[in-house]
Amino acid sequence: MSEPRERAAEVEAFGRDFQNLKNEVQKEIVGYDRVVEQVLTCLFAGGHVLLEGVPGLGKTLLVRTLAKALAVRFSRVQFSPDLMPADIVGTQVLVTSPDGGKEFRFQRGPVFSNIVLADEVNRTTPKTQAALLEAMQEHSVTVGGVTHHLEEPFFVLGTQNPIDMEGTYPLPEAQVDRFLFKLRIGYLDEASLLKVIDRTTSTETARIETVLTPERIQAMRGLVREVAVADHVKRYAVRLATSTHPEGQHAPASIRRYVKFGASPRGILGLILAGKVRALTQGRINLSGEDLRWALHPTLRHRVILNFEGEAEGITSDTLLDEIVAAVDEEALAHSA
Amino acid sequence: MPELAARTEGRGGIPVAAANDPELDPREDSAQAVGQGPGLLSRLTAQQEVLTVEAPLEARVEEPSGVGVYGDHRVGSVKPLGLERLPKEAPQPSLDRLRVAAYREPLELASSFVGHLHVLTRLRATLAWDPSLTRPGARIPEGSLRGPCYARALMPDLDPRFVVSDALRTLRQRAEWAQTLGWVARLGFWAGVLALLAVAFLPPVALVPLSALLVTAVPLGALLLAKSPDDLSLAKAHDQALGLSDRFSTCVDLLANDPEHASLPALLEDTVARLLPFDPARSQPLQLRAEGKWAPLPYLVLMALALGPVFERAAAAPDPVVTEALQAQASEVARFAAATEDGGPGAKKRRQQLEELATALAKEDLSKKEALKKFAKLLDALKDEQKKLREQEEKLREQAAKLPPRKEQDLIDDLHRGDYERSANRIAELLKKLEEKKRKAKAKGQEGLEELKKLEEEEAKLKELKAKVLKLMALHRDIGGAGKVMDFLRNAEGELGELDDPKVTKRRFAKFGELKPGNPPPGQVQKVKRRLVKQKDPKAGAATVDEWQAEAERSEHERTEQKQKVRERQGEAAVTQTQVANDGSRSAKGARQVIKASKRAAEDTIQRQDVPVGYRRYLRRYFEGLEPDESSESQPEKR
Repeated sequence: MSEPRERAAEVEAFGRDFQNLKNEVQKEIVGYDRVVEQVLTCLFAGGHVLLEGVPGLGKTLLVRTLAKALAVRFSRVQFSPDLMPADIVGTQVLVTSPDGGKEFRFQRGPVFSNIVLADEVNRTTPKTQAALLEAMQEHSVTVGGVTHHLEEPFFVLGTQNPIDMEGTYPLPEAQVDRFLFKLRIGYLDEASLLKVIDRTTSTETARIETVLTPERIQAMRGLVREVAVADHVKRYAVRLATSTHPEGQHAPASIRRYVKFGASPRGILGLILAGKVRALTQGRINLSGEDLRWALHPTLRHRVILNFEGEAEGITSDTLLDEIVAAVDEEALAHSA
Repeated sequence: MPELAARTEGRGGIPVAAANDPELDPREDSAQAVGQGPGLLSRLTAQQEVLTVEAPLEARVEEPSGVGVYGDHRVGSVKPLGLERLPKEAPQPSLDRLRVAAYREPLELASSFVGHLHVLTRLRATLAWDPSLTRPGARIPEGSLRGPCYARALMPDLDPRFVVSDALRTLRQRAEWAQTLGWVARLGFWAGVLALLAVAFLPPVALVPLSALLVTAVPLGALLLAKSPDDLSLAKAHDQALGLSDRFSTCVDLLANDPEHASLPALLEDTVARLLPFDPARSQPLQLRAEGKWAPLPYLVLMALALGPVFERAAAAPDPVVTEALQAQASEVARFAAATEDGGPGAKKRRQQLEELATALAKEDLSKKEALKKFAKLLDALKDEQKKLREQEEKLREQAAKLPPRKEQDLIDDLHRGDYERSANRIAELLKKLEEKKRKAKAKGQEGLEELKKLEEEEAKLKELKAKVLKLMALHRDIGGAGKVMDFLRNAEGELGELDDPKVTKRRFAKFGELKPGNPPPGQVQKVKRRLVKQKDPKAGAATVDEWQAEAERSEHERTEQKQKVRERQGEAAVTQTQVANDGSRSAKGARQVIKASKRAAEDTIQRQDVPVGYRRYLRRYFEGLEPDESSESQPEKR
């Protein structure tokens, strides 16, 4: 058991580092404060992010800037229909050894980085997608019978374009579930756009400084796991997630009507982890219901699969999640302890 | 003198022992304990109602660290909230030897685990709070036992678990108090309303037992209904109230379920820093519900009824004049009942009714009003009976009138007139004549057989008629008998009505007191009341003032009535407007004559209508009051 003051200092340092990193990213990225915060939350929670938005909103820039602010290796993969799994994870190449002989040597692919930008991940074939998603899940790749562990922190940011769906391979639900967050990037307001113009069309360029090392990121990830979670808060998280199940006992009427599949157990874990990061950023060493509500939409929106009726009526999973938040009584769960 | 001594395992690693363990000598235990270093509770001695605690400098007399060890083997179900894991560095009292007497802790409390916990926790707080109390032999005033929250403010090193547990205890007390108060208010209101209804509608209830019942039942019910909330709910509510983002509730949960959690100490520190200064009212406000706000109202009404001048539960004392008159009436009724001759088949029943009335009137506590009601009730019954008899008589008479031969028109007329005696005489004469005819017909022999047969048929009809007439006579007697009794009762009722009413000095609040056992059931009382206002006789009121004034040759100019019919153009409603002209015309008749005519009309109405007997005199007085006195009549009219 660590000393209270030490732990309090760690929490304070976490919040400070998080804020520093955020500030660095925001030197380049304008107007997406919440998205930046959520991406960083996902980074420290140990998950991966799926960014969805129309072209030209700065998704790639966001990831690139984040990589600059962290002293980590960054790679970008532009997904295309002819991209092969080996192009991502690497392949065995025949090389001549110093003694003149021939041997196979593993040529590492771009996935062997700390931050991987999988641009337009839905434009490649499912086979290639599966290779990436396996690496995301296992944090390792196996080529030629040899398992290669990926270096930590390993953080994948996938982007996809919701329009121009012709010739794309939408990610199956099981694979989307591997992403901790799905973030939707919308259009900027006028004030933010003016700032973007100033920053990108002049000679001045923002200088991004490195604020965190991989070791520090790992330490911060470790602290996230130390955040205390009370039973009633866990019950609240579970109730929020199970309320998305259309056949569930506590599902609101709209969920029963419009939802085909609800959140998976992985979604609940993600909710808790993301909430923990949020708690630390707020200077707390305990998870609260408020943190869970904050993390609910990015964590569960891609895990709530609408049925035909929901799609036809233009219902969004965000709307349904709002209804769940309103329907679940947090205090009642504390009383029933 | 019971003596308690204990040593604790604590951090010293000494086996657990207790004074009330028969295998251990408390004194020896005490001797061992003294000077053994931190973690020892040296001796805990209870003398009657005073608990004395002695401890060396290093002893954690105030620390319930050892108490947790007690909990392990004595009261296993009681789990102190993380108190058994206090850090060794907890602050110590600054005196070499400490002796503190704590009042209010009886022996039973001191001899139980819970008692130890309370005593020690309070003692610790007090020592930290007020150093003067650490003097040898110093006594802790009751008011100084405030708990660790206060101590924490003065001693930041105090383990935050104390604060959490004490905060929870305070919150629980407050919540229980708030709940009890809420129930007292709600139950108090509804009990007050019920009591008020009971006083108003039920037979007289003694107020003192009722008040005692309320005073006992309401708090008792509130105590039974108030539920002690669980710790987590209390903590969560406090989190919500103070915006602590589940800090407090997480502390409580972890202390209970995962006390080894790595982040718990930091969380405790953080939480305690935000809890202090601790104010339980933030999350447990004492709020009264709507019923609670109105709770005093029924009691104020009850008090006003109980103490106010209008309240008189006891029945009014009987008026001696009325009582005497009623006794006389009772004798009179009894005499009349005895003297009632056979007036038909119903005479026996009427005699019985009269005797019952006489018995009722003879009761001493009967009021004039009640007596009049009894008269009215019997009169009603007799009137109904008479009406039924008349209907029977009418029916029978119709039947009888069809039986005589057409040639006997006199007999038929007599029957229609209701002259049954004469009818009977005629029938008897006819029967005699028939007998004579029959005899003659028999004398004729075979020739007279046909005639004889006809005569016998005629005789049978006459005999049937005779039977009906006899029955009609009995009915007539019955009607007459009932009429006589009614006349008697009306006279008696009138005499009773003439009596003065007793002066009403106080209104009886318990107007429903009449509904006590033995009185007429509510339906009958209602009937009597209705009778005062409802005109049963359709002929009532036929003699109007106008009619009598017409008889008295009323002047045409005295009063002019002009009826004008106005019809609206829209709609179909017709409005009849009566205008009484005040055209300055003068009456040719004197006021005295007009009033006399009115008085006669009123008297007629009184006699023909169902004006209650007790009110007839008021009507008469009214008309008497209208009569101008001699002096005013002699003065010349100004106009």
